[in-house]
Parts: sequence; structure tokens; C-alpha cells
Amino acid sequence: MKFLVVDDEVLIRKSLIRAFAALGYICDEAENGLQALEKIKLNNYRAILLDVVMPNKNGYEVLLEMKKKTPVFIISAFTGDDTNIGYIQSDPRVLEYINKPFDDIFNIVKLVIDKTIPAGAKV
Amino acid sequence: MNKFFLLPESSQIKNETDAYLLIGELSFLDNFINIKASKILIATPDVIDDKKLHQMASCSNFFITETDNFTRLSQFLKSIQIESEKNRQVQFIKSEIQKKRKKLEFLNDQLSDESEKKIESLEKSHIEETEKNKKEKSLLHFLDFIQSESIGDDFVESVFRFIWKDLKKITRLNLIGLSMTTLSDRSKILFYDGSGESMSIAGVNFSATNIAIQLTSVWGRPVGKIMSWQLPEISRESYLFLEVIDAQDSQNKINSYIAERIAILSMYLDRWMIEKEIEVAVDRWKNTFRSFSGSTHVVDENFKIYQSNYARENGEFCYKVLAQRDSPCSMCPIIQNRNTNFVIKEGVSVKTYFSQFKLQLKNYFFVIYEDITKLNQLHSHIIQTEKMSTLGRLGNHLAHELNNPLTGIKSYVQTILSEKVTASATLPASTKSDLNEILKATIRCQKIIKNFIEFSQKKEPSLEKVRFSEVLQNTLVLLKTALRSHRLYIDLKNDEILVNSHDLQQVLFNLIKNSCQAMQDIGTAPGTIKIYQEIKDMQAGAKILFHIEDTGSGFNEAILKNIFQPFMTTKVLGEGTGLGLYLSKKLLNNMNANLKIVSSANKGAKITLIFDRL
Repeated sequence: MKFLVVDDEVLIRKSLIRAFAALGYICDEAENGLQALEKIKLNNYRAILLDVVMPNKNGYEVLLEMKKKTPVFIISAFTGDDTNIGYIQSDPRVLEYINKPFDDIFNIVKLVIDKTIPAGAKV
Repeated sequence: MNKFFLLPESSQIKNETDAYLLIGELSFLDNFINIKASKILIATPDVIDDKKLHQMASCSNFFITETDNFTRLSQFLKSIQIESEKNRQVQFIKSEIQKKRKKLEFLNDQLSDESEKKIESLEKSHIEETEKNKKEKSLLHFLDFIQSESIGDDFVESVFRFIWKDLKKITRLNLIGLSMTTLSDRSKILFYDGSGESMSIAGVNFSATNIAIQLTSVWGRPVGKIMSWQLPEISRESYLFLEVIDAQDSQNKINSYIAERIAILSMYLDRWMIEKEIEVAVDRWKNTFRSFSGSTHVVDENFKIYQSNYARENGEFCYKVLAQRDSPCSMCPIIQNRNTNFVIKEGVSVKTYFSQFKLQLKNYFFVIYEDITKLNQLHSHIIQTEKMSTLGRLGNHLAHELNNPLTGIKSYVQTILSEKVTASATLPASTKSDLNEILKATIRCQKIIKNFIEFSQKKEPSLEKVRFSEVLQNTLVLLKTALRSHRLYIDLKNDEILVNSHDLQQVLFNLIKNSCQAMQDIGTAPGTIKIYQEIKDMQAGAKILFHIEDTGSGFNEAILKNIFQPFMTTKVLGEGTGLGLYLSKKLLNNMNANLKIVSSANKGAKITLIFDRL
């Protein structure tokens, strides 16, 4: 099962895809919320790395409209004045909040894998 | 001889009759023996020698004659008649004398009466004269006193005391008082009870009849007989009053005493009251004048100060004192003939209000200068704050926007650098080192952005105990290139302070970089930077001071004044943001520290960081 990274910043998507690949996992990408929702509908992802501030439906809207119970990792620069943070926090699918900027991308990827793949199933 | 008898009844015989002619026998005559009137006895010759008859004749005024002797009888009768006439005359004279005497006595009496009266009146007039003299003397004394008495604060008390002394001789007094209306239309009662002057403020209507009752309620004690007099010829209704104990006997005396003096007293009291009121009014005016917040003055047409609420020499000109000029200000409201706003002297802006009035044919101007410097400062401060808050919001947004691609760059470099990405071949060493440089740059960018966000969110910095020299060393590493061409002397020890080391590093970076640039600007490299410490006891407690001294271009006075204002820069447009010193001061203030700069143009700058001493 693939991972999905949803972020409007191409370098973040590319680096995450490469980091997953480096660890032996495939990661799909979407550059906005609308694209992400379409891809989620078509595919079953192991987990979704979701940015919040994006054009064409933001992360909050994605969470609202997404029917599947796929685990979600929020990757965002929380500013503290997000009005939707309360909803995001109450969504049981959201497993972790990852602050941007990342300290080390591999730590992030490892965290996502650890939380979503049982120890025995790891590559 | 024939006997005949003229017989009056014995009862008819009266003593007053001058004479009786009694003719009869002896026994008959015997009946008349006790009658005192002259009796004529005509006796017959036969009895003429009778002893008894002679005895009778001897014991009374019997005249005995013979019946035939008519000559003798007529003589005798004549003699009786004469005698009787004589007697009557004597009697008349006697009575006349008596009358005259009585009259005399009466007159005498009258005379003595008259004289007594005269003496009495004489005596009376003498007493009156003395009394009058005494009164006049006392009045003169009073006049002398009132004329010589200065109309000061204790004027009324001394007048009271004087009257008290005088009236004590006449009556028993309890109190002398004066009721008057003050400037503020309040009724005031001044009174003297023989020991000292007191005052109560109360409305007592002296034209009413129940003054005593009114005063009882004012003083809260029983009040005796009150005598009061309205003071004539006085600008406002005033009454003099006395509280007397035995008014009955001395009422007239008191009345006349007061009546003689009340006109003069009124005049002087009026003067006293007016002077007192003038004093109050002048005082009030002076205080009002003084209480104007800005400079306030009255000047004549030549700008000579007539009155002012600020210190000045006599006869000085307003432009000299207020504006330190030698000629009137061009924006003077008197010249412009309108209220103006202008900078009266360096750093002081004023708003003026003026009005004109005439006094003894000369024009005078009343001018108020309201200092609006602070107002202007406040105004610009508000604009500045607004500007900064907009900038902060903008910056915050910008920082977040930048964070995203920066995260991408950093993550991407990290993945590339990871050996695992290029499993088959490792990166060439030079590429690897380039990528590492990029990584370092992104990290620094992130830090800057993080600081900016923290700064704009005004988070309380976390303070830690560090050595100043340690932070300095870390900073100097970043400034290696800039410092290369200059000399640096550092003298620091026991320099532990409580700071946020990252913020301090930022500050030191800014300051030293500024110094380097300033030394570069004058082109006489190498310049010298000295960094040393000082311990000082200040009002706010013991402080540790770190000085950074350079030999650069320094700052002139105008720049120095605004040096901590944001967007203040001496650098060419595009080279500096003008935020360096502003942010540095802000950062230090957040750490309970401060920043001071001493400098003059081309003589370098001495920047001082002030921290609490640990």
C-alpha cells in the first residue's frame, strides 16, 4: 500500500517521495486538496501526509469530505491562529501533527512508517 | 337829771366796736366790765364818787363823766373818735405792712426758688458739658484709632476690641459681631467675645425680628438680647450687632455710641471689605493665570511682556524668553492675527490662542501657548505603532509563506545527501560540500524566520545564565569576514548575565556589523573595536555594562536623536532596513536590558549594553 503526500510545495512532495523511496516505500503525491480527494477516492492509501494551507480545498476541507478511515498525518506550520485546528484535533483519523519546517525528513518518514505499519510488515 | 340809757343788748356788744356809750346804774354797768372796748360812762353826780365806779373805771377803759358835762363828753367822744381813727389807721397800716411782708415773703420765696432752679440748671449744664466733652473725646479717640489702624487681616478684630473696651464702660456685653455678604454671596458672621475673633458662615437675616432665634440655631447656644444696626453707605448689606446682657438701662447710651460711629465705621469696614475682596480677586486671577498649562502671557504691541506665568526678567520680550530669538516669530498669532500652530523653538511645537484688549489707550495681547510637542510625538508614535503592527502581520504572513519552500529545499537536500538515495554511487565530495552549504543556509534562514515570528508574536524570551564573552565568541565566528580588516580588543571576565543567548547573539551581530561598516565608511582601515565591561551602581540597582567602542564614522546629533526609531538608516537605500538598532533595543528590552549610544560625527561610537548584575 502506498502513502500519499498532499502539499502545494513541490520540493516538499519530491523530498518526501524520495525519502520514502529511500526506505523502500512508494509515495504518491497531490498538489492540492481537490486532487487529493480524487486520488483518495480511487486508491487505498496506507496513510496520508496532509498539509493544511493549500489552494483548491485546504487540508481541513479534505478531512471533512474524505469518507475513508485512512490515517492522516498533518504536516503544517501551525501559527496558532488556525480557526479549524479544533476540528482537526477532534478527528480520530489524525494520528500526528508534524511541524514545518522539518528538522530531519528521515525522522518524519520513519515516524509515519512506525505508526502505520506493524513491525513485522516493515521492509 | 334825766337818766337815759342807750342799751344795747349785752350780747350785741362786740369787742371790735370802738366805743360804747353806756349810761346806767352801776349794777347795769357791771355787766360790761369785761368788754374791752372803750366805754363811756355817764354818771350822775350822785354816784360819781362811788368807789365801785372808780374801781371799775380803773380796771378798764371806762370813762366816767358827769351827765351834764357835755363838753367834756364831746371832747371825750372826739378823742375816742380820733383814737379810734388812729387805731383804725394803725390797724390799716399794720395790715398793709402785714400784706407787704407777706408779699415780700412770697417774692422772696419765689426768688430763692428761681435761683435754686438756676443753680440746678447751671450745674446740670456743667455736667452735660463734661459729658459732651467726654463723648467728644471718646469719639476723637475712636477716629484717631480707626485712622491709624492699618486695614489688614486683623482690622476687624482690632475694631471689635476697641468698641468692646468702650462699651464695657457702658454696659455688660457678651459679643460684638458683624454680618456681611461675601463675594460668593454667602452670609458671613464675624464676632468677638472679648477674647478672640471667630467666624461662622451662615445666612442670618438681620432685617427680620427673630435675629436671636436665628443666631441660636447658628451657634447652638441661647442668645441674649441682640441689638443690630445696618451699616449705611456700604457696598453690600451688612449689619453690626451686639449681644448685651442688661440692655434696659444702657440701651440709649449704646444706641448713641453706635450712632455716632456707625457712619465712619461703615466707611472703614467697606474699605476693608473691598480691599479683602480685591485681594481675593487678585489672588484668584493670579492663580488662574498661573494654572494655565502652557506658557501664558500678556504682551504689549512691542512684544514686551506685561504679565506671564513663567519666569522672566522685567521688560523682556516674549520672543526672547519663549523662542530664544531676537525678533518676533513669523508665525506669532499677533502678527498673523489668528491662532497659529508652529515650532516655537527646536523640538517644541505650540498651538496658540490669543485675544486683544485695550488698557489705557494701549493695545495688549493675551496669548496662551499650548505645548503640543508631546501630542505630536504621541501622534507619530501611534502612526509608528500602526505601521509596525501592519509590518508585523505582513512579516508573519511572509515568514509562513517562506517556510514552506524552505522546508522543501531543506528536506530535498537532506534526501539527496542521504547515501541511500544514491545507492549505487556516492556523491562527489565537492557536490556534497555544496549541498551541505545549502543545508546550512536553509537552517539559518529557518532560524531567522523563526526569530521573526517569535519577535512579531512578542513571546517572552526564555532567559538563561550565560557568559557574555561566550555569546560574543559565537557571534564573532559569524562576522569573521567583516572583522578581517579591523583590530579587535576584548577585555571581559566574571561576565555572567541572564539573557536569551540567541537574542543577544542577534543583537551583538547587528551592533558589531554596524561598527565594522561604520569603520569601513571612513576608509581609514584598520579601525579598532574595543569590547569591555564596567560595573556600576545605578538608581535601578547594580548593573553590569558592556561597552562596544569603534573608531567609525559615528552619528551626528540629529541621527542620534532618532537612532532607535524603526526605519532609521544611514546606509544607502537597499543596504540596510533601518530596523537593526530598533530590533536590537527591543530584543534587549525584552530581556530587561537596555541599549545606550554615545557618539558624535567622525569620532566613533560607544554603544553600551546594560544588564542587571547577577
